[in-house]
Amino acid sequence: MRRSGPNDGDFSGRYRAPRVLVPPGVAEEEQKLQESVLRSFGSRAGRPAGLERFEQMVLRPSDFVGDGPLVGTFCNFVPEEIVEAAGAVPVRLCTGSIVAQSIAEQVLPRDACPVARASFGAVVGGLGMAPHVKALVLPAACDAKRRLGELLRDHVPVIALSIPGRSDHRTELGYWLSELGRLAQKLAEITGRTPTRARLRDAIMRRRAVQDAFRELERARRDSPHVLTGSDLAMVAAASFHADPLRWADACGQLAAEVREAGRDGPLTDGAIPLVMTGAPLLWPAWKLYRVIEEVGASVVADTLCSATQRLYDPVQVDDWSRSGMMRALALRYFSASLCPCFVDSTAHADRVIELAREWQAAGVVAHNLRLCQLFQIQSARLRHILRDEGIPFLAIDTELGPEDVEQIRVRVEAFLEMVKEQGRTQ
Amino acid sequence: MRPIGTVRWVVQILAFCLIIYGGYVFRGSLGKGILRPLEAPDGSYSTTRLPRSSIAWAPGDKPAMDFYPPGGACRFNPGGGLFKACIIHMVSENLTWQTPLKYLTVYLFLFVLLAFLVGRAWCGWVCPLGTMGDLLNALRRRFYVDRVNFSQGFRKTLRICSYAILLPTLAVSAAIGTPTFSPYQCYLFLPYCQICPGRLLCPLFGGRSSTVADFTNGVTSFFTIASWIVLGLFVAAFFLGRRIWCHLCPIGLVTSWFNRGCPTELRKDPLKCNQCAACSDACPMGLDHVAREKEATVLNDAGCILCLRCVDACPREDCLSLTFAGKRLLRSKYEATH
Repeated sequence: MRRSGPNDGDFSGRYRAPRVLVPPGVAEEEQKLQESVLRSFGSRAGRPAGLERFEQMVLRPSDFVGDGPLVGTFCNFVPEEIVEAAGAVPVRLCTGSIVAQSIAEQVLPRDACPVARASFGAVVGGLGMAPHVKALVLPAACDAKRRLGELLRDHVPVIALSIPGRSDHRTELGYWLSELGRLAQKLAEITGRTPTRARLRDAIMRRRAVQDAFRELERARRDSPHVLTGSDLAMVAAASFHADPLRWADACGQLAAEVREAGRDGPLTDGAIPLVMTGAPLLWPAWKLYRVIEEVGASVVADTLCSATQRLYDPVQVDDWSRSGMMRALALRYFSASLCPCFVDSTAHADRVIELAREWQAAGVVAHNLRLCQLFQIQSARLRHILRDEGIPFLAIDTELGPEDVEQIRVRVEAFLEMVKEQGRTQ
Repeated sequence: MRPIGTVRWVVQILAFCLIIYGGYVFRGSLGKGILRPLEAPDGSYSTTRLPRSSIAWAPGDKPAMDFYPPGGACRFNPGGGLFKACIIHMVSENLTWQTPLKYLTVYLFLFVLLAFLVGRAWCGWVCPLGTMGDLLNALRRRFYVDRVNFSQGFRKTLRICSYAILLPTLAVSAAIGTPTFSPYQCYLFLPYCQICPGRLLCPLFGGRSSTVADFTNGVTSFFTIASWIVLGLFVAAFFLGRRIWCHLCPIGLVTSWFNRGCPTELRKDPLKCNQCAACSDACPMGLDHVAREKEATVLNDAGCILCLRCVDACPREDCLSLTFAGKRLLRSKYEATH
């Protein structure tokens, strides 16, 4: 796994990162973890059959990935169209695996962000698609990710993307565009294919199938929001991390048709309390929050998670099909459209949460606050205040990836739902 | 992919043909008796009475209708055009002629009414100069050359320049109407028209050509060369900078006074906006308040030509919409490409 490279411009090669010993049997352990999580979700009656394809994509990503050299990505900030235009196949390596997290603990402190630890562990431990990637694109969106690059570059070539502190297109677009230009150039050096205008155009048109299919699914769900549960939607999104966009879009289109069909026969699991989920990503397979919510009779109908809706919702809206025009459209899509709390202004995030709660007639909003991620934790303090003024019930769950606190979470979610029902009765 | 944009092209081309060629088709059949033509008093110059070699000389054709709508209807249209002229022409001409206000009231009232109803949509959907510019813009896009992006400060400067064109135009026109300066009428009549690119471009689309050069003396040479420079800037601005020119246009400036408070409104539901700025990328006037706004729901702005490219570009259902007198006419929606 250890690769030594010349100074690549992003990081100095003078010092070495600590070695990581991969314990034997982690791959099997990871497989077991994923299968057990899947079993806990897959047994619901009336679950659309179309979800099986997504489960396959999540469990056996290498069967569904596109052809070409793989380039790993972290976060939601990496324009996958640029990776594709450079002749590579983007695979998102973010994970919530506690197996991966335990590998990282040899190097990273226990007080580091759990997602950063797990994703780091997956790369150095060679889990999932990580051993196959030729390079890794790492947006420095938060403190943890900013520091990971130096540790990872001894394992795989890392291209770092610097994210401006505010998402204002007027002041920051130029800088962000220069970062994307550098990304295109670095990728071209690795793959030998320059992202030309025609290639960028093809990639944008191809990737657009993802948003088309996801919006179609969203329209289908509108009439019958409970045919799919929050975890089903998360499965659909998790599959898109690795799967070829056209195959994913095809599966998503079929699922949308099935949801529409099921909606015609009347709602299947009517009675589930609709909730909106916001906060830190709920990355596969760390889905205990979905499980608890579904087990106590609620369901996430909409979310702002970069592991789910935020990954699939926003299209690249090209105004000018020149190369720089397309780069600008990509820059706006992956930057201005983002609701990430790493930016100084989170008005758009609060607006989206309120809007989703109204649009889906949600009974309340649940914030997933990943412990040790200050960005989400502090944001949730303000959000609580905002939502109280709007009269929308709000519950913040501060947790990590492991299953230790499932019962505590269950108690809190149950109490929250009781309160919501009580409010519903008195109104 | 962009449905409103397609409709707009159709409207623009139709309006272009009507305004430019309407004189040939409708002359003599419209406007008789409804709108009394404004005529130059004895001893004054009018475009038809100027010598042929003067650059403000217009081919003698009568327009189909003696009417001055917002947007770039031009006195120099071949065949007289459908309408008589633009508002700048009308005001300049009548200041020089010292036409009594009572004769102008009906024209001014109609202008204000039309400008008030739809604001600068005249610029975005009707003005033939804008349509020519959009064709130049389409040509650039065809070659996959990216546009030049101008700063907000530059746009503001252009608006100030626009006033710096409008006010001297009116002052000069009024001055040469007085007995003291009346000898200069032959040089300074319609001072803005003399440098306006519309005067040179509109006749190109018909059988008549206007006077492109007059070097009889210093004043006429100045206007001749200035008009060439302005034409060059016009073509370059529209080819490279989308509608940047329209921030400078004095006709657009006058129409823009009615943009706020008019019943045609560009609206936004701020809750639905995640500030992706697809609208500001699509805006040919280069405005970014549509993306930036997080509180107000009415987004009418002096610079907005209501082309509705932002509504087309917005990928969020119902976030942006166009309303007339509170009634929603158009709204943004996600357009699937596959």
